[in-house]
Amino acid sequence: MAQAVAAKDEQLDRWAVIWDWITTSDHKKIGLLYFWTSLTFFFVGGLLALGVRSQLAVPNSTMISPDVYNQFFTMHALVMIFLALMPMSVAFFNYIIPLQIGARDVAFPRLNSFSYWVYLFGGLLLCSGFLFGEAPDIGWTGYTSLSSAQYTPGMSGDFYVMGLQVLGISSLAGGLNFFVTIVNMRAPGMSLMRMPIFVWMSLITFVLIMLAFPSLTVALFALMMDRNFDTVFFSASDGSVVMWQHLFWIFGHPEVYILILPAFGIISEVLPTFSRKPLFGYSFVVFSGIAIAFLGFGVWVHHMFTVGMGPIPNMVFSTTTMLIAIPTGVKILNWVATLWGGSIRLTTAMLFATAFVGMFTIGGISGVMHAAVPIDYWQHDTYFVVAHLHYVLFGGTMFGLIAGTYYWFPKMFGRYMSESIGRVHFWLTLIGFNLTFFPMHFLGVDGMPRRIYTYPSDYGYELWNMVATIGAYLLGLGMALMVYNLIKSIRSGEPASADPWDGRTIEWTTTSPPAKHNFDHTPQIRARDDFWDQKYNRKGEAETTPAEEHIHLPPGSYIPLLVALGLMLMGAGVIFTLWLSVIGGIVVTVGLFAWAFEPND
Amino acid sequence: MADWIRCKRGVVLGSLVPLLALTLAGCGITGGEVQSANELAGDNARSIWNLFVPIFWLSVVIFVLVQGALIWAVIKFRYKDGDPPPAQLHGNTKVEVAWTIAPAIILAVILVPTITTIADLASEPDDPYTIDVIGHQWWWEFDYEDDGFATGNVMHIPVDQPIRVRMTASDVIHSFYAPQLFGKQDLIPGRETNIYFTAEQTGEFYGQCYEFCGVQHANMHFRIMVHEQDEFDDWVASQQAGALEPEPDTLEAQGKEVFFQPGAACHACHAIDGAVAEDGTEAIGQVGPNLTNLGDRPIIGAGSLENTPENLRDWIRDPHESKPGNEMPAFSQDQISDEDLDALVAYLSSLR
Repeated sequence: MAQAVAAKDEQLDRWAVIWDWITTSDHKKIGLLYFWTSLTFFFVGGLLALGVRSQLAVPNSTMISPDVYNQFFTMHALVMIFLALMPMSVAFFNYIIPLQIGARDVAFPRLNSFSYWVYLFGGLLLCSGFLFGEAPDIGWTGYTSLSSAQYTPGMSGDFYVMGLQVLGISSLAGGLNFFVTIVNMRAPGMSLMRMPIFVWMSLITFVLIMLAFPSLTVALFALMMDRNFDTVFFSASDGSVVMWQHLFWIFGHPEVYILILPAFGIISEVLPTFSRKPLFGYSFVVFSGIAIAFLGFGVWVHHMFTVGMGPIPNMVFSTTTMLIAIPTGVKILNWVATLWGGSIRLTTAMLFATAFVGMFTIGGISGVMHAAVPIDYWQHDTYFVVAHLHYVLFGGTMFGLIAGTYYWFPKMFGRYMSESIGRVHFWLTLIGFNLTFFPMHFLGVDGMPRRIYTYPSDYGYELWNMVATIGAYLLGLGMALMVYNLIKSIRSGEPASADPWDGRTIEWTTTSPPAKHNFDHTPQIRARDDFWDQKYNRKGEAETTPAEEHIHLPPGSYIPLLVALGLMLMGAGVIFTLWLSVIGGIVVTVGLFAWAFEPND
Repeated sequence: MADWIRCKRGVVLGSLVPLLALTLAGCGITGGEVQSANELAGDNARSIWNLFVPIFWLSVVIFVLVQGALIWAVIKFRYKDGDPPPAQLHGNTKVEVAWTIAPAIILAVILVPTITTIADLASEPDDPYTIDVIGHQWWWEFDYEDDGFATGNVMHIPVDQPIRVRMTASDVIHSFYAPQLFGKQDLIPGRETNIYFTAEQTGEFYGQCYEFCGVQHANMHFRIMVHEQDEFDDWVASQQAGALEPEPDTLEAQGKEVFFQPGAACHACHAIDGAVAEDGTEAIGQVGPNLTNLGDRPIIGAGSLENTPENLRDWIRDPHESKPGNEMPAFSQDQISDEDLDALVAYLSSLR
């Protein structure tokens, strides 16, 4: 009897915990939700990649049918870009930015929760195509006229359009929210040029998100109209086939910087901490970030050098693209200079951050190669480009995010991740990564096109494809080890203090993990790298405001989830039956009213 | 936490070894393959490669310098127990300005030949021989409009003669690229794009579609046969003359009947220039490739199979076996009997 009651209590408790996570508006919890969800999607994307690599291991392979293969490579890209890398950055935005700027939460906590649920539901919507055997199979770029209803009939194109449309709302809401948070909620004394560099790079990212995503939104809306309501935006005879590419890449190129800038920020925290030196040339790193973002809107045509716009546009965009290499090169050299003369501790986080600099340099250099337009006439759509983009997005972004995970894990969970497992994880990942992607340069030289499900046996593609496939499995093993390390370390990792790495920024002043309200006292910022300054220059005098009696924290709410659900229904309606859109529209409308009038205490 | 403080130097050095090994292996093994961008046989491809080589070596130098500095720093500036914090150096404006200007100069140096090469490749040569290329899902149509005939998947051109490839697509975007001869351009429905190039040597050159164009993007190959001018002229003349009429009462003649008979009705989709059935039906179908010189082509199904009688047989029975999702229907025993198929294959193989 008593046992039954206890079991029931436990069950009630469990529901209370689940309800708490569902309705939470705490930026740290939302950050963790983002982290685990994006990690899960990362493995979905990784499995798809292993499917692709397995098929390509040998010539004339019939393991995967062409139709399924096309779904695999398309979904691999979509999942990795929109459901794994971007949201994993958002996990760190959520968890770390308020801590680094000395805030108690983000500017709009319920909007933050809304962003997460829209991301989750949008991701599920995008992936649910697999349930019907009709996942998007048109490449993540969705070029018209292949993506039109005529050449891609059925639901696969609609999953692409509506999945991305819903996800875009999440990104826009998040970008706006964090932009306002950083602009308005910094602790007293934290001027812009005292902000941690991760906050700076994130701020630039949010500007990019707010300016770039609308172009994708417009493009997707037009494609949705073309596919479902017989408009002719992208028709060859009455509209323009190429217009899609312009709209897509005006979003798509800034998107590359949306993916890489947060990782720039992360390693700009990790390298100084483990070199025990400030970031070399802080203001140059900040302004080169701004320059990259600005120029990033003026280079989209370099994805379209082969569409035949004529020599003048190609010359102009070749020039602007090469210009971007200047601020990028400045950053790389500043990172190296940060290490120079330092006192370097090679933690796993540091290993990944250092490898980031090396691998990203390779991706940057190959990028300059196809910025030279005639070389792009060769490399475009060959495996050379596949190699390039993975050096940027895996060797760059993903290495940065892994470094961030090892670096901030003690803050998030109050324990260290295992360094011995971490080291094995690092070497497996580095070797597996290079084995997978470096040979793709050679395949590009040998003219292997990307996005082909098979290749003939007499083209000399066998060796490097086999090497790449072996590398991919090593890489998969390495990443599986990371998950093992995460789980093991959460359970039984060595306990970490508030400041486990001798950190430089103020997130290390609060407990690990931080209390719900982050800081007992609002921090007073006196310097860049304020915590280091406090420890080594001001000799430990922390300056704070008087203790605060009532710390107001926003209450939880289930309404953001409801509105997100409504949005997903609206999107699903376009795919299945418009009645769902009507229901979704009603849910969204009612939800927004409830949101507006929800009591806030 | 002592274990994360130290890490063997050899391990750090080890990070370069796999990369270096791969690079060396790559330099040794890459290239010389049938579709390689560095086996040059055309002026257009040559100017691309000539632009690439100096940029490549410049990249190697920058790569070695940056990675060298990175690894050197990691090895040299290692924390030892009890070390005080190093000098808190925040930057150095002179250094920063220097390494902002240095890449700018390097890029300016790259940019000059880039721009001149763009202009070169875009300029129309004097008196080019024009061939129209139309991309279809998933095969290539080559129209020799000036000479009044068309062919599919295998293009013939004369050596040392400037060629203008004038391109468009009938359905989705494709991209035309034969790495040994010229750089790629896309084929776009409703638009015209051009490639100018001159083949510098005779031979058979490989190419395929490089813009993802649907389920059979992988099997959209083509070949370019480069001939001496007189050989090419002969080929043009034979194409203009149309298909050879098979001798009466041969297997080939029987095959020609099969071509037009209702079960097969090949003529509904394919053209054979000059082939006329007994009832006057002409083979002028436009859905699939023109078959006038099919027997002469090294490939069938846009490179899905090598062109042998057995493969042609298999292809007609079930084109989806080797090229799933392509537009050509399969032909069962009821539509074309085994005996008829032998005759049909004999006829098609005889077309040159």
